[in-house]
Amino acid sequence: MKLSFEDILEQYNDILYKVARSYAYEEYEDIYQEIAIQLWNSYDSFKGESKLSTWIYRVALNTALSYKTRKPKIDYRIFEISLDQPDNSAKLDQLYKAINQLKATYRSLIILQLEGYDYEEISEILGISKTLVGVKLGRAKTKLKSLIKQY
Amino acid sequence: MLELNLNEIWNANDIAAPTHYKKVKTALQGKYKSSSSKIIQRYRNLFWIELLSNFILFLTILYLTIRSDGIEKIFEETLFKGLIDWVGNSLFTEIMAIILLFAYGFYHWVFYFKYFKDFNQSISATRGLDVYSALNVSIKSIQKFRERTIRFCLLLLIVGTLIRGIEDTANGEPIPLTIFIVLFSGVLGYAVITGYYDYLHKPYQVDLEILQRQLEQE
Repeated sequence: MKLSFEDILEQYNDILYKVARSYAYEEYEDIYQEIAIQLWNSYDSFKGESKLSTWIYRVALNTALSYKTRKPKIDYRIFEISLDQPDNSAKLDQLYKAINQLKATYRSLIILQLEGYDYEEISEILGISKTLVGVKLGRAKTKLKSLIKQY
Repeated sequence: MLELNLNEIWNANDIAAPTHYKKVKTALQGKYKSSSSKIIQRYRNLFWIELLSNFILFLTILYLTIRSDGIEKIFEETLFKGLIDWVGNSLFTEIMAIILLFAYGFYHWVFYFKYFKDFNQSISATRGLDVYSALNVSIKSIQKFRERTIRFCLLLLIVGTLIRGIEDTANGEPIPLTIFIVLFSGVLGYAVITGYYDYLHKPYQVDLEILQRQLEQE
């Protein structure tokens, strides 16, 4: 049975939220809303050929990549994450800031990896080979680590 | 030694995302149904700007075409005599040019709406594709849209400059000078039109091409 759009939004809202915050730290509400509009406009075209979450990721990433936000200033700041700090939400905030400094395509890879997708699933969402996913993911993680200082 | 666990930090989204959703739920429901996409809205704005500028260009060329001696005669003298003079003055080319302008203008504007609708649909249809294919389709659609509008403007420009050229020659202007003016205005017009479209559309297309290259390169 096809879920109602409201149910989908509620159930998969986290995808919209994560993609939006990863692509625009400050203007994430705009992208979040744009993804919701694009999902609403394209939902009829979803034929169930892939998992619903895969399809939502595709719509969300395609929207985020083509949405023109203010170009983030190149920021060579290192984002500090204290290992002793018990509050994960503050750490998450720093992590999003660091992800925002990555190349747009690296951001997609990092999000999908953190979401627990394997190479095959990432390859299905991004449309590139599994080998390329592996190579690029390695580089994306190295870059992300260089942006985060743990203490 | 403690080690940074990004997955553990990422899991904080399990609290942050639902909290955010609760906050925006009511406002969001009204918006996704009634609002139009900002991405499509940007194209729509460009579309109206282009349609209007094409119309102004069309009227300008039409004005230059009909402001010929032959047509003025129609109004100066009797309609019948004027018409005979007009044809007798070998201004048949101009009549054809005017018909061509109207026919192409009509074709262009009618199909421009249909074309823009198709363009919107093709851009919207890319959303469910994998990222690489979506970028590919978007780049091609934008490229096609840009090339089509440039073609239309160039045709208007060619017709306009040729008509002026024919008329200048008929008015006894030296042929080399006429050729020079036609070529000069043609080249200048071409540079202005392509520059204008490159300024409006190209940056967006280039951004998408960069993303596509980032994806495919090792």
